[in-house]
Amino acid sequence: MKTNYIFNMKKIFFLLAVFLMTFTSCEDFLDEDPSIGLSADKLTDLASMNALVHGAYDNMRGFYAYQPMITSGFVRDYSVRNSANWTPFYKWTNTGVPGMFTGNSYGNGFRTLNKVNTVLNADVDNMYGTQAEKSKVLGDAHFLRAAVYFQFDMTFTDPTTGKSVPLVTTVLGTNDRVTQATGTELRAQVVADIEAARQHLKVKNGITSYLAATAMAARIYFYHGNYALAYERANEVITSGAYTLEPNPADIYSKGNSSSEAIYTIIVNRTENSFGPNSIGNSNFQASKDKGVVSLNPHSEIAVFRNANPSDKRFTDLFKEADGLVYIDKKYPSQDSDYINLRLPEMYLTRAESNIMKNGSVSAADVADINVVKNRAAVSLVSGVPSMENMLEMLFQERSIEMCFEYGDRFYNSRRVKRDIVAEGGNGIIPHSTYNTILVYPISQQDKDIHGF
Amino acid sequence: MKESIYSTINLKTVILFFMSFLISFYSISQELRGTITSDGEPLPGANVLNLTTGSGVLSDFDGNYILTNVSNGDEIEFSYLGYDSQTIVFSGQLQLNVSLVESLTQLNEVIVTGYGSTIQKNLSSSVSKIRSEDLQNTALSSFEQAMQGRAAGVQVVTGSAMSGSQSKIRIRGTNSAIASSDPLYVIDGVIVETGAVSDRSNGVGFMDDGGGNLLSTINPNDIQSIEILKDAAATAIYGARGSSGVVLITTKSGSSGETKVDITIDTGISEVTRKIDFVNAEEYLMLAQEAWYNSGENPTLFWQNSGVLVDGLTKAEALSTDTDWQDQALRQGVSYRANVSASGGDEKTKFFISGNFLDEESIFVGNEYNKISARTNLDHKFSDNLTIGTKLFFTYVNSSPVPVQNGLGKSNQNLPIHPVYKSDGTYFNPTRSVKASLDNWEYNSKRRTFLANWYLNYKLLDGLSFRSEYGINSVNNNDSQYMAAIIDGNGEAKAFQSAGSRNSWNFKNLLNYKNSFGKHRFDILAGVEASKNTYQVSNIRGIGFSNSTLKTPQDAATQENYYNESAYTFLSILGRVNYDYDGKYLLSITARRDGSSRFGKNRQWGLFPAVSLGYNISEEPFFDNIKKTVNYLKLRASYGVSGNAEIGNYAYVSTYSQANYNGGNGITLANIGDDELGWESSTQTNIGVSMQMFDGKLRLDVDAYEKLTEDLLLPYPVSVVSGLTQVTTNLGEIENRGIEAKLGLTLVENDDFTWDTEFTYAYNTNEVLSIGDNAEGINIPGFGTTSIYIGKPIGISTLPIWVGVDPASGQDIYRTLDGRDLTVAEGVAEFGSINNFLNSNQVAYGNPHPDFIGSFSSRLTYKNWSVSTLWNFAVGQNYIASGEQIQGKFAYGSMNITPLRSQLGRWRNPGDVVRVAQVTTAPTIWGRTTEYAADIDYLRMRDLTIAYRFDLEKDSFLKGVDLYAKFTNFLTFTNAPPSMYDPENYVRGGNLNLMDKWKQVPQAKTVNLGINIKL
Repeated sequence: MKTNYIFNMKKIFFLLAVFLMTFTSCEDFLDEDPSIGLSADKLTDLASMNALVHGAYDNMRGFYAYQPMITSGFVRDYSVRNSANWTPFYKWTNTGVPGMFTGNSYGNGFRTLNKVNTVLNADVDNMYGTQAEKSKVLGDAHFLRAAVYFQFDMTFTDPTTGKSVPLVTTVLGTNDRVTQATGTELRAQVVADIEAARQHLKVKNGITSYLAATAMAARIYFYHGNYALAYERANEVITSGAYTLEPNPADIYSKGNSSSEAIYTIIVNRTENSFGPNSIGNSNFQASKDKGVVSLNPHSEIAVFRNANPSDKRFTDLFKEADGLVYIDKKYPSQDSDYINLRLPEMYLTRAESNIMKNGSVSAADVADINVVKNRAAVSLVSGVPSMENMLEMLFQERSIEMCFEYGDRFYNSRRVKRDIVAEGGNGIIPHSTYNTILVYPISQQDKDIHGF
Repeated sequence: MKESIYSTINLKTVILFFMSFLISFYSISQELRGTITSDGEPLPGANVLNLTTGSGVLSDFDGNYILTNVSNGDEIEFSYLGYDSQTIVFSGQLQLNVSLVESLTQLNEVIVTGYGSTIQKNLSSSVSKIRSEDLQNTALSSFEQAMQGRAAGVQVVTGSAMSGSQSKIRIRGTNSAIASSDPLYVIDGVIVETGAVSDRSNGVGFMDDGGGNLLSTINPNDIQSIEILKDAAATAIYGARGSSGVVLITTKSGSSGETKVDITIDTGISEVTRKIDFVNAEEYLMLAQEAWYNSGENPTLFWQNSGVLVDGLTKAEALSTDTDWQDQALRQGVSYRANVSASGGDEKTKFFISGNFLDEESIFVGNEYNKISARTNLDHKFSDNLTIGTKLFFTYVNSSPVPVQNGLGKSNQNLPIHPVYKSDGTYFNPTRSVKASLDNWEYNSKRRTFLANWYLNYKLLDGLSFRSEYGINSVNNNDSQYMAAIIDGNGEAKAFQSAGSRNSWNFKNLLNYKNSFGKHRFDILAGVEASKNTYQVSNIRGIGFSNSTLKTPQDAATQENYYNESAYTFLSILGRVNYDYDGKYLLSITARRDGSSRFGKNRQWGLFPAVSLGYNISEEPFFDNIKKTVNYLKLRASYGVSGNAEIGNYAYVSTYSQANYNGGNGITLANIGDDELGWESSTQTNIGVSMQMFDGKLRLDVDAYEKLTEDLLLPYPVSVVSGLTQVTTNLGEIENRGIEAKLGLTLVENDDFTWDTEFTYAYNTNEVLSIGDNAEGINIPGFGTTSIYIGKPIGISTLPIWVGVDPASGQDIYRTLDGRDLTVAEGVAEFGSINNFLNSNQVAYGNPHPDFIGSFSSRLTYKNWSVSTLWNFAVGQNYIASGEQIQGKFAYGSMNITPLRSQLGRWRNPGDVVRVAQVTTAPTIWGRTTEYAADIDYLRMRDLTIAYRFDLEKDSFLKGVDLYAKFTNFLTFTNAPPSMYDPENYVRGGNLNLMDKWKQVPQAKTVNLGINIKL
């Protein structure tokens, strides 16, 4: 009986041992890798470079998302009627610029840069593919880096210290530390990138075309004060004949990317990501008393221009008067409309003003340029050749009316010409010397802590 | 790195060694035969010990034993876990049948310890037990809430009154930062995953129903007992998943004999514990006009320009309206429950079958919850050596949660001067209306849960058994949601459908050897376990409909899709040796080696050992003198390591996720991986004492512990320039130290009148000891700052210190980092702006964890009446109910926010010493400050049950009829400010930023009436 038991025990231990072995040797059981998504080691071909560029454009939706609302709030073009969220952006003298929405620009900007820097630091030249395909990827990457750093410089650079966001052109590890760059350094990089983008895109257009990069270059040089090159680039875009003005202003925004005057557009696709300037704009600008958040500030410069010229098609077709309010609803007609960042009229106005600044005088060609824009708006044209002072004022007004509530031109341009802006109370003004140092986007506190900015 | 020390010990060798050691003890037998029974049932595995010679045997599966070498006059002891021992003097009989009686004292109570059980007396680790009577007929939405106050050191924070909502349970404090600190739940031996089932990625709204709390599907009346494993010696058997504590749920089994039927029918009504105190219409207008005037506006233009008149409202209408918007979202809730169970069986087969039905309409308008569950537990003795059995549980839940932030949370988004409906019968300002939201938001969630296990128990030898068990846990979920266009800010209707499933299997094989040799008693366990969990979800969202009767995404103008799947595996080897010498000296050694797919490729295996010692001093001869007074005294000590593997399934790998643009494939950096990523490791030391005095009328358990968690998974904020805002890595340390005590008193005990009371108390301090290279603290900014600071508890925030209101100017005063108190104007002058002022002067602040918690319970029976009650308390926790407070403070910036009534105490004239600054139309400052933080204590009557048992005729077919009334959460005493719905601030599932809840969700107090019939 005993032997029998012991025999059984042996058998049992043998079975147990085998059992344990089977399981422990079966380490494959613990290999459970994600079935969704791509891992970093696979980014070695042009297709993945392309995917990074597409991912970067997706980030641009968030990068631009709040720009129109924040910058229009800065110059107090709108009044908030229904939400506490936007109030701080036009009551900033005491509160400063709150970081809550500007952080989106910072975060998405650097997420974009992470991807384009991955592309620009990869060995694209030795990847399998044609030169045209490589140029296309590199062109888009340079373009996006220029576009991001341009806006960073315009919004984050502190005019008092000259300091701005860090200049990052490589892929950083989590332990790398950087310092704040100066606005001057950023602007040099922006110029280098936009020109590199033009070179590459000239070989083959990317998601953004060669002409769009050229138009962006015109904007960049205009705000950098390099009026000669601004003129040259704007002129190249206009004379290419690739773009024509839409007869009816409302069509621009409803057509979006397919509009004949849209040069650089961020495309909205609900199935990808509905979050962007279009959705923010559409939510806030709606022409309804109980929907939407803001309406035209009756004391704003735009309201003043509107009162002076109520039949301007840009007011009659894009604004809507109801409920005792003026809604600005047609620039963001739906959640699904594309966000146009750069349009042909900007090129006309940039060419005219750059030419004036470059020459120190007004020419008939400059008058013709402003009249192209005015003509489409069905307002009385400028006749003769006005004085430089008058012409610059006319250009400022024209730029304001044409591009209000869009990517930030109203704010950038007011600052460029050191123009006063409407005070918080609604009436009165705040001088450039005051707002210029306050209206600076705050740099991410996290990055301040990590890098010791 | 940690593993290397232990992995050199080969667990398998150790187990084999122990096994062979034990065989050598086997000895040849002679004759005293008999059968050991209980209630006429054979009792297998009972101890038969010749106290004179020290030799002993165990009874076999039929209760038979054969004891050898017995002489006349030998004292033979018959004992079994949980039964009173009997000692008989041998006088030459050949056959001795013994019937053992189940022990009533707690010392012999069986304690389930995971992969086995022991009796209370022989337990050397720290385990709390909750008995079924404390869970019966609970009106709580999920059984785990019933653990509140029943076990020392177990903190339960109730979620909300939303049907099926989740609670947050912390056992001995919080020992993680971003990994989950929820305990591990084991139902009938099967580890189950309990988190949200619904993945509403891409959904259209936030609900507070917990996304399908699996625990809420369990029928509390099925539960036989809940054991809570607390110290490392108890939790190490669950290895890499044990460090947050383990909750073992054991469901009822049948017993042979007459079939018992138990029926309970119950109905309840409920209402909110309290509402937030907002101003009424008159008070609002007073404050708003004062703010308007204070900001230099023309008072005569208030109605015209301030913006209070929205959506066509006239001044006359506004003046005649006084709406309490909370009333639009809250109501009296009702519930109906029925529970039927039958149990019984014969010598071969035992069964327990139950069915449960719940129909509930909670206090939230629109919230409905319907649950049906069924259980079958079967055990069958196939042969003398083989027992097989199964436990099958199925639940179907059909629930309709309602939005919270977009429902009740909108109560301050319209003003009291705003009507619910316009004069034309349409909703007033529908996008901000509580009523419009609730009426136009449809949500339905259908969930099927199947929990099952099958086991086979084979007796290989006397004392040696093999158990093989296979369990599955399957949850299927279908959510559908529809939001009408009228309440959408963009005027678009949205629909959402989600189908998700979570499936897991678990296979374990265990060998168990129990025997005693003289005074040495062994219980040895060795086993292997493997498990795999998979998860899939498909979501589709549709936006824009051509017709308001169309409500499925398929009919929408645009559709968005989302799909996700993931899986993880565990492979484990485990072993435990319980040894005691003469019931005096107790030793338990446990080890588990866990491997998991969740860990980095270079760190896939970890070993979790623990040891505990116990000393039953009262068994010593020298104790005899005082044993009459101190009946029982045990000292316990334990030390060991367990882990936390709740680090996410793929946290170790660098990934890019999809980010398409204009139809082109796009990718974006999603995670930076770490091959060394592993579990969090908690080393816990526990010392304890258990004693009973005055014939067990006083029972005391006290434990002190220190739990050091290393390799804490931390969100490591990385510079945004790297493309991510944070990565996770094992680098921190956190420590929990505490004392917990449980005192039971039997005040009266006679035939007609019994009165038992119980007190629990737990004190825990939580401190972050290390955060890697980060010198001082980690801040992850957002809405409400997430902060982790050395020397502070986990879950704090960094906030600017609010000092008070300047009596001269009526402005708020905040403290600068260098200790100066500045008014807002002075701060703006110095720092440039309010935002800069506040952002530059933040300090790590507060403690979201209570200083101590505890409870008092009492059960009193007099003749046919019984009254039981449970009170619990928590003292000293900092909370910020931020939404209503922040918006209330800056209510007049947009003139569309209802302030709290506390705003009435605002500063008005120089010299006023008040706590509320002057009201103005200043814009909202979203940052939190200490002004909003409250130090909260509460004492709550969790339960009061009054029951009456009817006297029945002896030969009645009825075995018992009880009527009861149950009051849940009926009384609360708290210093929580009136800006909070409830002092139990269930912030969120995680462990960070715990002080700040944007919109609180209220709880309910409930009265239930029920009848229980036994057949």
